[in-house]
Order: sequence, then structure tokens, then C-alpha cells
Amino acid sequence: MSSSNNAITTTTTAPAAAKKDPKTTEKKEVEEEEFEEFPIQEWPERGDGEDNEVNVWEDNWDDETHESEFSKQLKDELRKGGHQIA
Amino acid sequence: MPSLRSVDDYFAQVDSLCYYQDWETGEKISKMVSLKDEHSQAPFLHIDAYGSRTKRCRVTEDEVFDEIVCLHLHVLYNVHVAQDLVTAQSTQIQIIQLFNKEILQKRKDENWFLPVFYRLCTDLRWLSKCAETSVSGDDEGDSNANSFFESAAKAITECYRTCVSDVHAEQGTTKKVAMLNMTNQLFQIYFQINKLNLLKPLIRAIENCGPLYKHFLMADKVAYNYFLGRKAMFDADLNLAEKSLLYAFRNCPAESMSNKRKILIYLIPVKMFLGHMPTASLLHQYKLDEFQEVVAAVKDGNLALLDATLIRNEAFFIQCGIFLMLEKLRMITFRTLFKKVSQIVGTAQIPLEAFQTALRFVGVNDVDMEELECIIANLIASKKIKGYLSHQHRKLVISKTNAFPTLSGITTN
Repeated sequence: MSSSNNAITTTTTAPAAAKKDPKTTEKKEVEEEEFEEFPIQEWPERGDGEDNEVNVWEDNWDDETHESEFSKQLKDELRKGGHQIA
Repeated sequence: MPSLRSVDDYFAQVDSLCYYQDWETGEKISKMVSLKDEHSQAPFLHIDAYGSRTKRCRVTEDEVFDEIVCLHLHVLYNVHVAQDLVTAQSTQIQIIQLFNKEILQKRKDENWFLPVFYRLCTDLRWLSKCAETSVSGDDEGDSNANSFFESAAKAITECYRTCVSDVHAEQGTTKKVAMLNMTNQLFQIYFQINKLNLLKPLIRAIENCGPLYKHFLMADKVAYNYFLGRKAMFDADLNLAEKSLLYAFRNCPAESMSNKRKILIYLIPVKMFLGHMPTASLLHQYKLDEFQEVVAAVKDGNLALLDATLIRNEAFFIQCGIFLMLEKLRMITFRTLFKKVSQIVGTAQIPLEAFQTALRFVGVNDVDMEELECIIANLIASKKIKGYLSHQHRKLVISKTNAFPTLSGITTN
């Protein structure tokens, strides 16, 4: 019985705490997994290519324009291993 | 809205709101039956079985709302005074069943009350979770685990059926417009109890809803695309996952920082898998620095670093539910490592031994020749390497042109 009482206390203290600072406390409480409710329900829709945040994805990370430290070490390692190096 | 001082005040406010029957008023009433609204904290509203009192206030304007409000006070009493969350949850279900029977099924050609209904469902989910937590300490075993979520899903599904069958009303007043919000409610419940397969018919219904889609609220569309993208990621449908999560990210208001962050947690692994790497500043801006080393490792082909950083941040990634997805990035990391080896060696015929050396260099010591051939065969099959294996000569023979195509250019099916 004591364990279930504990559980009830934890769940019910949250709304009480929310009274002091409803916004932030409530946020913390659900932050773990729940998608938060939006304060407003309607706003203009953005289509493909109308992103606010651009250049946040890199596509050309793969073009080895400069040799990284890792690549240098890998080259040394292959050379040590007696492999052909271009 | 003026602050409340008594039960009379509360009833008077609901009563006056029930006079107007428009969407905006629906939103106002939804606050009056919310478990998170300020009024829910007022001790004078925590009343046991208020509806059965002979002398009491009434919502004279609307009998059904009168009953709903009384039940709502009963829920508040059980949450805040009796601390009986099981009763609170079952009472909330009662409210939803009443709403279905007396409002959704009976009131034709109007839908202004839907915001109230959305609120009742959202609170039912919250109560189900609380009820679940409150009994999970009891020694009842797992026999009725999830039963609160199950009963909530059942009640909401019944309402869903009512709403989708409202086909005669005009576009502006049809209850069908509730479809998306209710699908989202069920999405969240089924995520909790791991029954995402039950969403299939609901997703199909949204896909086939035609011009109605324009009438859904942006808040619901963003949430829906977030849930759909997560599900698609688990189903390994990366193209749908990318499309849905990008829509959600693009359309989620900047002020809702924590939602944008949640979307990114799933969008990042999907994007990486498709060959698009998040910039360091994006990760930092959204407090997702746990990904920094993952990105660096995948870009470099550094398996040792990838494994180390996955282990270091294991708790975080597991909590987000993306650990397995990130582990799949090993495949891309192999590809990038092998690409580097091929560039260093500089010929079209690369001894498998060279890959072994590279693997040992990045701390992967448990891949024997057979497994290496298997990894390479998989990379060839998934079009990440153009070439073939010569088992006999223990060599990988790669195409003279574009042997390691840019990941973002590979079409996945």
C-alpha cells in the first residue's frame, strides 16, 4: 500500500507545483517523451524549399578536399602493414 | 477570463459561454474542462459527486455540458483530494462516452465543440498515464498492464468512428475534421503500449481524406507528421520518415524549441543514413551535442569512435528510442572507411587484407575474412559500392568511375 501511495503523491505534486510557474514546470514534467501542445493551433504552412533553417544539412562531407588527421593516420597504418600506397 | 472565486462563478462562466456556439467559444470551454487550466487548482472546485447534489449550480444553457462539468469536478476531486487516479481516469472515460453519445452522435451540422473534445481526450491520456503509474507499484503483475491505455484507446476509437461517419455535413461543420487530432491521440497511446500496427487503417484514412486535409489544423498536421515519421523510421521506410519529419521540422514554429528538438532527434539519424550530415551548429543550437561525435565518426569512417560514443551516450539514445537506428550507421561508416582505403591504395583491385588492416586500426578486431566479405557484399547490394568481390583472389574490384557514390545520390527503395 505504501508503494502505491508514493506513486500517487508523485503524480499529484506535479500540478501543484505547476501553480507557481505553470509554463516551465509543466514543460519539464512532460519533456521526457511527449510532443508538447502548441500554444496556437493555426499558422501559415511552409511548402518544400521554404525552410527557415537552410544549410543545416551537409551533403558534400564526403569529398576529401583536405586530408583529415584520421586519414593521415590510416595511411601510415596501411603503409606499415606493407600495403601498396598510391 | 476573470478569475474564479466560487463554484457559482465557475458554473456562471460555463453557462454564459454555452450560449455562443462557435469554434472560438469551444476553445474557451475547453479550458474550463481542462485538468491543466488554472481553475483545476482551486480547492472550492474539488467536489465529490457534485452532480448528485440536490441543491447545486447548473449550466442551464446546455444540459449535456452541465453533466460534463459535474463529472469534471468529480475528476478534479479524485486527482487533488482523494488521490484516486483510477477513479479519475474512469470518470474521464465516462465524460468522453457521454460526449460521444449526446454530442458527437446527436448534434448534426455543427462541430464548434470539437476543441472541448480534443482537450478531454488529451487529459484522458494524461490520466491514463497517471493511473498506470499509481497502480504499477501494486503486486498485480503484468496481467492488466496497459489496461488504462487500452480503455482510453477504446473510448477514443468509438468517438473516431462517430466522427468519420459524419459524411453529410458541409465542409465547415463536419465532425470528420476531428480525424487528424484523434489519430494523433491514438498514435500517442499506441506508442506507449507498443501497438503501432493498429494505426495502419487510421493512417490510410488520412492519406485518402482528399480535400479535407486542407481543413486540419497546422498544430495537428505537424504533430501527425512527427508521429508518422517516427513510425516510418521504425518500419525502416526512410524516405517516408525523411519526408514526414522534414515537414514537421519545417512547419514547427521556432518558439516551440523543445518540439523542434524532438523532431530532430529522429530526423538526424534518418538524414545521416541518407547521407546528409547535420552541421555542428545545428546540433549545438538544439542541445543535441550527444550527436557531435557520432557525426564526426560517421564522416571519418572511424568505427572505434562510433562504437565508443554510442556506448558513452547509450542511455540518452536508448531513451530516445534511436539506439538501434544509430547502430545501423555502422554500415555507412564501413563504407566511408573502405572508400578511404581505396583512395589510399589507389588501384581498382584492393586486397581484402588492406581493409582488415584498416579495421584493426579503428579497433575492430572481431571481423574475420568471411564477415568482411559479407559486409562488403551488403555494401555492394545496397549500391554503396560499385564493384564485385573476388573471393578467389581475396580482392575487392571496384568500378573505375564513381566506385563509392555519394550517399545522398543513391536511390533507396
